[in-house]
Amino acid sequence: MAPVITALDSTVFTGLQENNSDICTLEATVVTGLEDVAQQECREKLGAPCTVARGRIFIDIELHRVPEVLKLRSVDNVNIILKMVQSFGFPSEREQCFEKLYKFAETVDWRKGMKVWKEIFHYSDDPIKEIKTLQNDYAKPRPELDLKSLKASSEIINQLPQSILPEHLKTGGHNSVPEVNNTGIGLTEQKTPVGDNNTSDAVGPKFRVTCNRTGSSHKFGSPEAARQFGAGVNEMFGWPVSLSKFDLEILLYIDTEFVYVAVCLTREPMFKRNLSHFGPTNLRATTCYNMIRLASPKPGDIIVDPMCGGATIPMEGCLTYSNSMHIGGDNFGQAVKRSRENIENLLKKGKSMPIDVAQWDATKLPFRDQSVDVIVSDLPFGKRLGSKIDNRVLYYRSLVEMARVTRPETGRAILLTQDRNSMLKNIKRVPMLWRSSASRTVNIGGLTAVIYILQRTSLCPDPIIMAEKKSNSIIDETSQASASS
Amino acid sequence: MKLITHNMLTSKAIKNVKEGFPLRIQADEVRNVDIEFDREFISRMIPKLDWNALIFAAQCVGHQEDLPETLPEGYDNDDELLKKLHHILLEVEVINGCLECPETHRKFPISNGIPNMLLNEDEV
Repeated sequence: MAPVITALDSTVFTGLQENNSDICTLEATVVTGLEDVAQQECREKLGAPCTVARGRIFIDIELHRVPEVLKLRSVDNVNIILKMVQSFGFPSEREQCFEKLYKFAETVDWRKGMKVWKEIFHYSDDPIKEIKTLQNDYAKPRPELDLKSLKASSEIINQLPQSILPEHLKTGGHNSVPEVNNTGIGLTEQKTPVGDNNTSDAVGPKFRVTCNRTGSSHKFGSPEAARQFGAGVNEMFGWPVSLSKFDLEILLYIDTEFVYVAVCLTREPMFKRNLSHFGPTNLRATTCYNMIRLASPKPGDIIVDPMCGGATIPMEGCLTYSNSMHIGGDNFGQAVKRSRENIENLLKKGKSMPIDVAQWDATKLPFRDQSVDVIVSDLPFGKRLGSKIDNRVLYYRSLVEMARVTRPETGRAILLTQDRNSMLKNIKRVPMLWRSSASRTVNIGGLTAVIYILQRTSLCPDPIIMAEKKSNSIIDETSQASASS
Repeated sequence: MKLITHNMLTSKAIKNVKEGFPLRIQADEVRNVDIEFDREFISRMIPKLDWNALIFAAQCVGHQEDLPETLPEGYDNDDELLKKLHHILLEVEVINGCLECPETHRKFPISNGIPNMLLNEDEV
C-alpha cells in the first residue's frame, strides 16, 4: 500500500523548488491500490521521476512535456502543484485560520502553474495581469461599523451585498427596520467572492476553489476554507468567481497540517473517455487499463473478458494494446447490445480496432481448449449485480472454464471482485489449475475490492474429474444456488 | 463477428458434441472495415490459428482470396500473405447470419455483428 500523503517530504519535488522555472510537479490521481501500476506506466512512457502517495502519483516534468502526462492511460485527473506546505500551523481560532488561508494565496507561486494552465486550455489572454497585495486588516473585527447608522454616501455600502443592507440604504426608501444586526457577518461576506458585487471590474478566467479536507482537528469546514482562500485569489488577481461554469479550478488540499494548492488540468476525469452507453456498474476506463497492464499483454495475445458487461475492458484494451485481439462476452442480451453500441460509438472517432463481442455463458465458453492467452474481467460483486450466493457457484465454474480455454503455464487471469470470500474459497478449490501469484486491494467507488492475479499451472482440467469434484464438494451449494436461480 | 473470433469458436458445450468445430458460417450480411496492419500481431497470431478452419471460414463468407491450402513455411517473411491474412482475420466482419454446429446442426444466430452462443438448459 502506498504511503499516506502526509508522510511525503515535499523537498523531493524539483518542480516545487523556487528557482526552478523549467520543471513543474504534477499530481495525477489514480484508484487507491493501483498507484504502482500508474508509476510504472509513467516511468515507462515518460521516463520522469515519479513519487507515489495513497491515491495519487507525483511527477516532476519539464513544462513543455505536460501534454504527454495528459495522455497517460492509468490516471484519472492531472493537477499542477503550485505550493506544498508540510506543516501549515493552523491557529486555534477559527477567524485566525481564515485569515491565514486568505493570506496563504499570496505565498503561492502562481506564474508557472498559470502558464501551464493557459497552454493546456488554450486560454487566449494572459490570466495574470497585475497582482494586488492583500491588505493586512482582513477579518479584523470592526465593532464601530453599525449598519443602522451608515450613511447612504458611505463607500462601504458599495462593497456590501444588497441583501444584508438595511432598507434605508437600498433604494433610498425610509423603512428603518434593520434586517441584519450582526455586523461581523457583513464583513466576512464583504470579501466573499460568491456574489455579483465584484463582477463589474472582474477580468480573467472564471474560477472556483475546491477544497478537500481530511482530519478532525480543524476549526472550519472545507467550503469555508475554499471560500477564504478564494477570496484571497479574487483579491489578488481580480478574477471573477463561478462555481459551476468555471474556466479554472483551483484545488486546495488539506490533510491535518499538510496543505497544497494545485490547478486542475483535466476538464473532466479521464476515466470517462470511452463509454457512451452506461450500464448499472461501469468500471473506470483507467482501472480497466491498469488491470490489462497487470496482465502485461504481448503482441498477438488473445485477451478475453468472459463477463464484459458494456465491454469497458475490451474497449480500453483495444485502444491501448492494439496488437492484441480483444474479445468480450456476456450472457445478458442488453449488456451485449450496449457493448456493440459503445464500440460503434468509439469506432466512429477513428479506425476500426481488433475487438469483438459475443453473447455467451461464462461457465460454458464457446472457445476451443487452450485458445486464449489472457483473461481480464470485472466479476459481478454480488451487490448491484448478481448475488453472493450465486457467486459461490459462478466463480468456481468460471474458474474451471477459464482454465480450460487458456493456455497452460502461460495463461493468466486478472480478476476483480469485491466478493473476497467466494473468490478465496474457490481459488483454494482449483490449485491444480490456477496459481494465485498476487492480489491487491483497490478502492472501487468506495468498495474494498481485490484484484487477483492468477497464473495457469501446467495441468489441464479433466472434464470428468472436475465434474466429479463439483458434484462431491459443492453439492450442497449447487442445490442451494440452482434453487435460488 | 470477425473471422479471427470464428477460428476459436466451438459448439462443444452442447450435449454429446465432441469437437463442434469449425462452425459453418451462413453469412447474410458481411462488412469490410479498415484496421491498421500490424505485422507482429499477425505473424504471432498465425501459429495460434487452426488453418483449415480459417480456409473453411473464408470460403463460407466468399473471401477465400487464394489462400494456400496449407500454411507455407517462412510465412512470417511473406508480406503479401500476412496482409491477406490481416484482411481476412480482422477486416471482414459477419454482421448478420448464423453459425451452425457441424455435428448437431444447431444454429447460433448472428445479429448486428454479435453471435449468440447461449444454449438452452436442455441442450447441455
